[in-house]
Amino acid sequence: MCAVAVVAIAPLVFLVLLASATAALARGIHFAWDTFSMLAAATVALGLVGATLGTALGVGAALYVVEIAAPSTRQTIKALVGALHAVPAVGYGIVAAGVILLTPLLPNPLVTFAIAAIVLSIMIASVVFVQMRRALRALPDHLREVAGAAGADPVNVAVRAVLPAAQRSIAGIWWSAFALALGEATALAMVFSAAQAKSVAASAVVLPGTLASILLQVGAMGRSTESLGLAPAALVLFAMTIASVILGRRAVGHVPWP
Amino acid sequence: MAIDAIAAKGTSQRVAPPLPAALFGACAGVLCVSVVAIVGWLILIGVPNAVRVFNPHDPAGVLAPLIATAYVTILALPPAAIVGVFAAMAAADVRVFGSVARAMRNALTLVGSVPTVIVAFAALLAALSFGWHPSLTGAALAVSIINMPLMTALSLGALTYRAAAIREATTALGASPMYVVVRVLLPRAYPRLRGALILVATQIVGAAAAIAIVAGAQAPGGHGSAPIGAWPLAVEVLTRGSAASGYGATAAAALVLTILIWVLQGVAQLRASAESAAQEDR
Repeated sequence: MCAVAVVAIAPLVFLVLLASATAALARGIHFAWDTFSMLAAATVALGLVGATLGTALGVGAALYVVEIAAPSTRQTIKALVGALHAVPAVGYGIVAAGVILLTPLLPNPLVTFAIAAIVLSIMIASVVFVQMRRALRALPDHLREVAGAAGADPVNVAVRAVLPAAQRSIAGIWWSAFALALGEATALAMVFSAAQAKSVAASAVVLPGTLASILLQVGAMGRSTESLGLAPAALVLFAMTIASVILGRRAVGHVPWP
Repeated sequence: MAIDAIAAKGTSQRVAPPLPAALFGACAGVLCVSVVAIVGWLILIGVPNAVRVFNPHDPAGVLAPLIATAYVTILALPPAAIVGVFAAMAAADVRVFGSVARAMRNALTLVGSVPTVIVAFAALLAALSFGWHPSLTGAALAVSIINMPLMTALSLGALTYRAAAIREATTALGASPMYVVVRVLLPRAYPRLRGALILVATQIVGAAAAIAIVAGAQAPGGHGSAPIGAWPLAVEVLTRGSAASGYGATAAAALVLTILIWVLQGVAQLRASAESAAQEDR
């Protein structure tokens, strides 16, 4: 029963969102398609940038730590990236919001997007680092032994033996990172809220946010009509996330989680 | 492949150019600098406001939010742990529930990939349709449900960690699959399960979006739905973090939250078994 309860979470969420979206459309609640398309575009763009940069950073760092670094350096980097991984999303959000609020940076769409992309990339990189280390540990030791016996130094082993062998894992990690990036709400909501707060004083145009950050901002207001009006957006975000996991599975066979 | 190196005539040709090593090192450096920058920023801005946030009478104080955090954790953790461990036991051995266990393992990645904000939003929509008012207690229940897949995955990992040989041996001695899971694998997994429990607790302590949505943290007069008169610390940081006024106190609160989570994660790692520590050493 417990197993069924856990597995049933996703279908139940889908049914609630579908029923709410249908109810919203049936009641004629206004749905701003132009704003929605902008939010969806920002979500996908940030997801692609965040997942790609985050995966590159995390994979590079993991390869360095596992294959190249000296034991003492390895322990230091592992401890620091472990600490980064444990920083809560509001920790990233408050620092990014502070950069917008307390520095002379003008929160135009480009600056806001860049700050959001950097925050998302670093958040994702710390997750990718953990997943990639796990993937590297799963590779057979004889791969490294054979490469070493053939005369390769640790960097050559990493670049020419380990990296090609881990290609499928890296592709799976990218899909997992993309799903993660699509759903990141807390830190991005803080970034976009700070940009909006500063833009009021500076009379600047800002990005409205991503689908997830808007769901958080509107949901936290606790107003039923506005929340119901966003049900189609939540349904689309749900579909995008599930689709990215399924596409990842079809492409590479395995998408790591957690 | 590395075999290419055999063809190299001289030693210098077998040694890789420094660029890849520098590139990988730079990636690690960026991540290390990031954590130093984040914590440095929080210390720089937050520490001058430390006196303020530890004053229980200050509106920006962290004591009431910490009690609210404990309230949510105490409510959310037991259901997540119980359901997670039992679900993992069902999925730990395919001989117990057959193809259902295999399907569940596959479904777990899919369920866990659903963003917390979507689950919380669906919970909010369901609550609104039933006419329930947003509350912190309801938010704790939602956070519990959100963390069930994570607890299941961590428990499954704890139960099945290097279990193949043990399973074979106990089965050869005549133990039934259920007996193997309950009497052999479960007691053996206790240290890892305790670590998993603490990891899930850190997720609950750091949860901001789900609680903010289900409890209506930014609704007018929203504090009325919090029994302690304050939101959990993460939610307080989320709701106050985008305002320039009082930013220093919010940064100090974020620093307290980060340290709390680090301490909890440190405890979880200390509890991890010596066996897994040896494996993690790579």
